[in-house]
Amino acid sequence: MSRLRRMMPRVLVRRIRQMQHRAQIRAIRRAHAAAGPAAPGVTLPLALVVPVHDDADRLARLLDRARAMGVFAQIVVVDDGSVPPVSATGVTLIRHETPRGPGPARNAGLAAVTVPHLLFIDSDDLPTAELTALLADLAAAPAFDFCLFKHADSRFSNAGHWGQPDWDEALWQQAGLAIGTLQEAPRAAWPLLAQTANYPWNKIYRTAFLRDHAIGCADTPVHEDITLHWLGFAHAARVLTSDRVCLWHAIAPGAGRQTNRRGSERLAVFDALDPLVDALKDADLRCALVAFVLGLADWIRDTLDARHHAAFDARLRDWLTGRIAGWHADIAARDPDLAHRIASLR
Amino acid sequence: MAHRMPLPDPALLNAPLRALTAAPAAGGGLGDALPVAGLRLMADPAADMAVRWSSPRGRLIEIASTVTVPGQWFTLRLTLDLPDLRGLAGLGFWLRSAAAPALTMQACLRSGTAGGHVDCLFERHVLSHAAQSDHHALMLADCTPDLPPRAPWREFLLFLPPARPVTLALHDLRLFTVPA
Repeated sequence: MSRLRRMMPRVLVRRIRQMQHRAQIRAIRRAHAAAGPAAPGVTLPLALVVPVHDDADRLARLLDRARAMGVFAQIVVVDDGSVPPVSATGVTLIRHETPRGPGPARNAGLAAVTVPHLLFIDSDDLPTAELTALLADLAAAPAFDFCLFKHADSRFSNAGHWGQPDWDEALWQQAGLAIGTLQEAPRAAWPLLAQTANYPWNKIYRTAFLRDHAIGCADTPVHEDITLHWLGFAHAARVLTSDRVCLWHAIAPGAGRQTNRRGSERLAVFDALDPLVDALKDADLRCALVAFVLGLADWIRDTLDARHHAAFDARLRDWLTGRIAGWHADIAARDPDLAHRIASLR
Repeated sequence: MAHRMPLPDPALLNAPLRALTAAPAAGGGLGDALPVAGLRLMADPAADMAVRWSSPRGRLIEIASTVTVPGQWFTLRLTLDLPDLRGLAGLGFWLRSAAAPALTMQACLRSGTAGGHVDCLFERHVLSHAAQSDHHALMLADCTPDLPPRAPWREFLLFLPPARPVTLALHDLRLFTVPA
């Protein structure tokens, strides 16, 4: 074509170019005039499970958004001892008369789910429009145990960005899954994905998968979601990922917020880790958990009141040198640096 | 005297982009036409590239390319019904994208002329990285002396890297005009 074109007089080339352009403009106008509203698509039947404690206003904001999206087949609200009690219509409402914490609240919500898939969400978080597209994608996808999606973090949206923190994004990129609306995560990528923030609300779970493997949150006052997160990877047969930002997660200062607790309850992290020691059979996932725990320990030390540091360090040493002693040979073979870090804490 | 030409309809200007965003398409290679009129993915014929594109639900297009022999250019082109810029202060676009590894792109308004065409580049490069991000840019007619006020045809071009592998998701792209 280009050889033929070089032989043409320039004026003819210009005329052809103009005719092509006019034909494209006519086609665009015809298509635009003929376009109708998009047909409603098939969506994945999904339950929304919301634990809530004394957060009525933000729960109302969440429920308004969820109802407007029209994609949730069931909404389960677990009122964890709020005063006054939560009042909500059109939802499956469960109440714990005295607060038991977000872990037992999510587990109670899971028990009440009657549809094949579920999404945990906290009352102060919000689903985004991209969740609707992901549910349509998942409705056409082969069976999966859970689908991990990206999220937006309020610390970053407040700074004018949209998305998850850089450290999570780096793990997605290292796993080769940073771009793509729906991909199957190869097993080799699971140890990387497992080290992303252990949130309960950045995954769509298959309800029967959680029930069949007795997967749930720990009863601990904080870090209860670690158990849910890692047991998912321990038992899954098929994990999907999506780069769609499906949820906006609010992080705000405030003494009453779980993230900001600085007391000795942080030491309960070792109770949350306990079920994982027997459940994790894969050596790479074990190494990933230890790397994650060492990073989490740094974060906890920064958060924890100084008077609890000695007790925390003692529990960490016990866990690393005693509870997971059976993993040491695998760790030394796979990750000598990690083995050295453990040894240095003895 | 005030110019009396009707201003371009932004819905029509963006019609191909909206049509592709609204309709998921399994995609194809470089030789496979995009399923909407007015939008094309093109590469330097001298290059040896393997290109796959798809249009996921609610997104414009995802492009993955590998390069055996680098070319001089690799572009996404949008035909514009914008023959007359008189009455406009300028033309802008908003792009939401992500790419891994990170890359830069450059946007351009190409206008047909008697001698061929003239390219006017938008000032700043678009930087895409693994986290989705937004880019806004504006081309002001007064500050773009090479931009012909009238042209027999125009295109909006997005120049993609022609000489390295690309994994790029263009989530959304919208053009807008600014009345004078």
